[in-house]
Amino acid sequence: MLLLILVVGYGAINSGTNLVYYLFSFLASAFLAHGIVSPRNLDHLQVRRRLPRRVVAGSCEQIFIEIENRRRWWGAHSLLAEDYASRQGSPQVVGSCPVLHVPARGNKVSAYPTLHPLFKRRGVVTFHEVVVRSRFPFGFIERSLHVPAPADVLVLPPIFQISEPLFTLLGLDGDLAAVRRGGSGDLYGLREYVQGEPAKRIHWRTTARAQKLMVTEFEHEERQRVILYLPTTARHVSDELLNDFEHAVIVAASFSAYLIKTGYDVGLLTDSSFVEPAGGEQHVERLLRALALVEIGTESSRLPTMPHIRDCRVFVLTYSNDEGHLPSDLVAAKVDARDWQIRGTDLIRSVSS
Amino acid sequence: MNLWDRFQLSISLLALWSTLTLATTGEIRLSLMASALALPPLAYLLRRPLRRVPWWIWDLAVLLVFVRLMPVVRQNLLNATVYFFISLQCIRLLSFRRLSDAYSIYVVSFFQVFAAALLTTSPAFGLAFLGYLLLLVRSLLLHSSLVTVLRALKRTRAARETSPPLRRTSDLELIQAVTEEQTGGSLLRPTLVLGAIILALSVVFFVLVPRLSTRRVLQTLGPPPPSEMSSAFDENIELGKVGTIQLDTSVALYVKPLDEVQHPSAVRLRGVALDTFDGKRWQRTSWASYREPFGMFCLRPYPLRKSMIIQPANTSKFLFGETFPFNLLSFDFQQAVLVDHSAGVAWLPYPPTKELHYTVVSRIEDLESRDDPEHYSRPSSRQRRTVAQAQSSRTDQATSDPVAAAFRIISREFELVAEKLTPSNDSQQTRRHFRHYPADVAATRVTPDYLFPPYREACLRIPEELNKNALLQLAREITRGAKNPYEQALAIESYLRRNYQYSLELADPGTKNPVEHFLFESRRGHCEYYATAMAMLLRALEIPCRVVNGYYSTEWNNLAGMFTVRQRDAHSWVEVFFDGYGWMTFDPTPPGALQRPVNMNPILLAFTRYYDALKMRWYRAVIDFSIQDQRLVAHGVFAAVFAIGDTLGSLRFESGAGSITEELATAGNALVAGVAILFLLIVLVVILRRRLHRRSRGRRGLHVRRSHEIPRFYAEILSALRRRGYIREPSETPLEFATRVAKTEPLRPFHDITVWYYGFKYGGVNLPKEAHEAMAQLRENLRKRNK
Repeated sequence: MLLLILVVGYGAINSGTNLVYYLFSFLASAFLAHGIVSPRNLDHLQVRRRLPRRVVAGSCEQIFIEIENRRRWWGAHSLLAEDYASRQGSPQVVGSCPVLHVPARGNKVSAYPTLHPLFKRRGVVTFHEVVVRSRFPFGFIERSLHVPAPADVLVLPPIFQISEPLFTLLGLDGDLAAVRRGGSGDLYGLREYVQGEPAKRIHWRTTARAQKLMVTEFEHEERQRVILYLPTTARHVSDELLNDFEHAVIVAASFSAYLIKTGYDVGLLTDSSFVEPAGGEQHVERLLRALALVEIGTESSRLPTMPHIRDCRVFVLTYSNDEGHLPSDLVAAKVDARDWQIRGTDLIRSVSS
Repeated sequence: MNLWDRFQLSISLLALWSTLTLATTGEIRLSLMASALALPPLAYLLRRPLRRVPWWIWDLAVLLVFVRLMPVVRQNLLNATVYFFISLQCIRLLSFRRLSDAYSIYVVSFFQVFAAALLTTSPAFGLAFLGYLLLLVRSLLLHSSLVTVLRALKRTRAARETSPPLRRTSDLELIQAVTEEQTGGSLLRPTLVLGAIILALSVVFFVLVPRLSTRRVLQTLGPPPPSEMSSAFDENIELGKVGTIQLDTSVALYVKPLDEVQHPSAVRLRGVALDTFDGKRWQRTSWASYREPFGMFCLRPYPLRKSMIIQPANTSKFLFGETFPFNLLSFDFQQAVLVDHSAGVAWLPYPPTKELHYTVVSRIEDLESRDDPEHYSRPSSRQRRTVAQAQSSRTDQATSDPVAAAFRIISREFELVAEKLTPSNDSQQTRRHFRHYPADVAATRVTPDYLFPPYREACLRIPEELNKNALLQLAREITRGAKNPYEQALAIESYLRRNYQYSLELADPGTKNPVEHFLFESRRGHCEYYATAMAMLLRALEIPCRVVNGYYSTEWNNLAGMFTVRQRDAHSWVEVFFDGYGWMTFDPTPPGALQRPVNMNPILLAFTRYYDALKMRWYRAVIDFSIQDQRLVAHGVFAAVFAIGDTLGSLRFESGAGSITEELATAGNALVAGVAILFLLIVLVVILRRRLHRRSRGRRGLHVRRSHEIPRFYAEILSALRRRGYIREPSETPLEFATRVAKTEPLRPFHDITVWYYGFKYGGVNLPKEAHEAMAQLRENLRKRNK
């Protein structure tokens, strides 16, 4: 632009033509007008971020940016809101969304999806600020407004659907069925069928009415308690191990969700935390939150107190061939542990298929 | 219409408009203009199928156009550049699918406007530029919105690891992903506001930017001069031709007096002076003509300026100015001007093909207040000595190049004349024309008092086919009793005016010479015959003279403050040379014949005059805006500031310590006083604005109209309560605070308001009407109590 102004200015001097002088004046004025209007476009703006209720790693959620214009007369135009967040390093742009017009004394909401790599892994994502950028009106110079908006969001591990063949492959089908075989009594209620349950429990009349598979539940049926043990201590931490650990966390999340849906009380045991076995959707959320914060380390710690561990079935999730033994405390507790010697990656592949 | 379509429409309109702006100059070939004008709408209408054409085809087309125009570059660079840019614009419009394509369209459209600014001076350019400005602003605003959307979308895509890499045509695909709500809103208001800001600022810049002019490069870019053209006012004009011109009513030029206090009743425009008559045609002998590089062709500036606009209807190559040699200012013609100092005329290498604008400085010679040349003092001895030297050197210099030698002599003679020649009597009639100049300058004569002998000889020659004896006899009869050549000329002028009848319908002279037929038989004719007859009679008396062709107009436009000169105002008169004085104008045509009413529909005439007024204002304010005008503006601003100071100084605010302004005035600091007043005015405006703002808020406060105003209202209530001493403790929730406050009777509604506010803020509940009213009422009550 400056080059163009210089060229036209030279043309004006060279030709001595007043109309070319006018064009020169016009260009200079446009540049000046941009300088005057551009900062005003970002005045009196209020920026808010609305985070989703839950963010699951790898899923696509919407993060909303709301911009409120408190000016009385003039709307705001051509705004680009950039959201900065980080896990441990320096903040980076995790999403940007355009807000082309915010009317005077009005507000506008725009959203960006959680597609940034930062949201692909479970854990805590720390938001820092929202930067509103604008090149309004003519795009010569960019102006920005930095709005501090600190917030944390917990990214939960994803839940995959457990397929029946896998269930059978793991030998769980018969085992779980045996647990329930003795159950009889008054009808407690009806619920939706979960894959892997025996077909005899399907209540066909209700299924026909509801157009989906429904199963019966009985009052006196004892709820079985299951604890998933996820070891979080390793001799040395490698990238491969970390990768496998992540897969093991996903398996733990998927299995706990599945077991709770089929009527079990599920607890979670790691080397540093213990979640009591319980059922229900809220407990699934609790387990997921716990799994979201689980980290692998090299220092071994004492197992947390497990008051009712003897009444539980304990499933140990091993995710590496090197970690194929139970901790001594757990062995001493003589838990009925079943060791799944399946590497996390293989398991995930099976789960995904 | 989505954002991209809006943008493409705006860009197409911009291209169309800039091409139209260039088309108004009339300098570009019609066929090219037609295709350039047809393509933008076509490109917009066919935008969807055109997107399927591979991009490399368009790039190849650009290359082909460039190669095709290479030979034209050698002939005319300006034309070749214009053609290339127009072609580039057409191709970019057809292949428009990337934002970067818009940049080339901006550049090309601006170049077209730039070229138009160089090629035209028409006020139509002003209107066209206004449209261009608005379209450009709108396009840039839409562009800015699109860039914002693209940046966001590209960042989002870049964040997705699985996304494919961006391809060349991805802009459009990305934009199509924009939701319908992202249309950018209405841009009418920002477009108009920004347009107004730019326009206002550019006027300020235009006035302030220092005027410099080198005219070095662009002169060479202009078209080559065409071959010599014949025109109505030529250096070789047949007797009777002026009469033919007088049948044409088209406008030849406009003349705006710039210096006169009162507008004159008529304007006499001198075009070409013809010295040689062969019995049927007048000719100008080319004694000395040379090219003036910068359009200046006089040795001294003279007091009165007139702004001239020659119209294309005038096909003469001669430049018109009033009465005697003049100076050209703000001349917009790129080529040199040819000048003949002996004839006192200037002309262009070829007739202008477009409207031509210039300012001419000249001395007006009033025929009614002429003075006998004898009353003027003779040249001083030093002047006579210089003339003698010039005459003696003439022979030596003429040996090499007679024309160049003649010019050198003439220019030296002009230098002599330019010295002051004080009239013997104080000629009030002469001086009354000049407003700003003292008598000695006003009386400065602008014509040489010495006539170059070969030119004198040409100005005395009578064609052989005329009967010299009959002419001499008639001349002596007419001038009987006249004491000197001046009185003889006056007598002949008067005789012709009184005894001959003006008519455009001429009787057939048969075998006789038309001049003799006019003088001795028919006694009817038009101005050309009058002028020729007077010239021949004077020459018979050995008085050098010549015929001048030009215009004489009385059509004054009150709205524009200028004369409209039509072709039918073409006129001929006589210039007589008096030794020791120079040339003087005589017009033998009866004055009554020169008053020609305009036969035009009154409505059309009024419209024409309004248009002419607009055109003249455009020229005065834009085209002709010069460094002198800049100085005038600066003086005006300073004068205004000092006038404020003076006004302040004239007021008397008596105080205990004496007059406040007296001290300022005595300190001579009127400027400071002006600034102080300005500052006070600004403060006053700010205070008034705030008051009005508060009032309007108060009026609006009786009813909360919009839901987004509710938090502000609630915050204002809290603020008002704080002023009354009700401050919420950190341990209190808003509702606990409201319960505490509501214990006081007048503030009881605050509890309900807080409950409503809770619902609105956290439950997304729309407030009932009574809630709005209660909030407004409470806030109003609190405000009154605070007062």
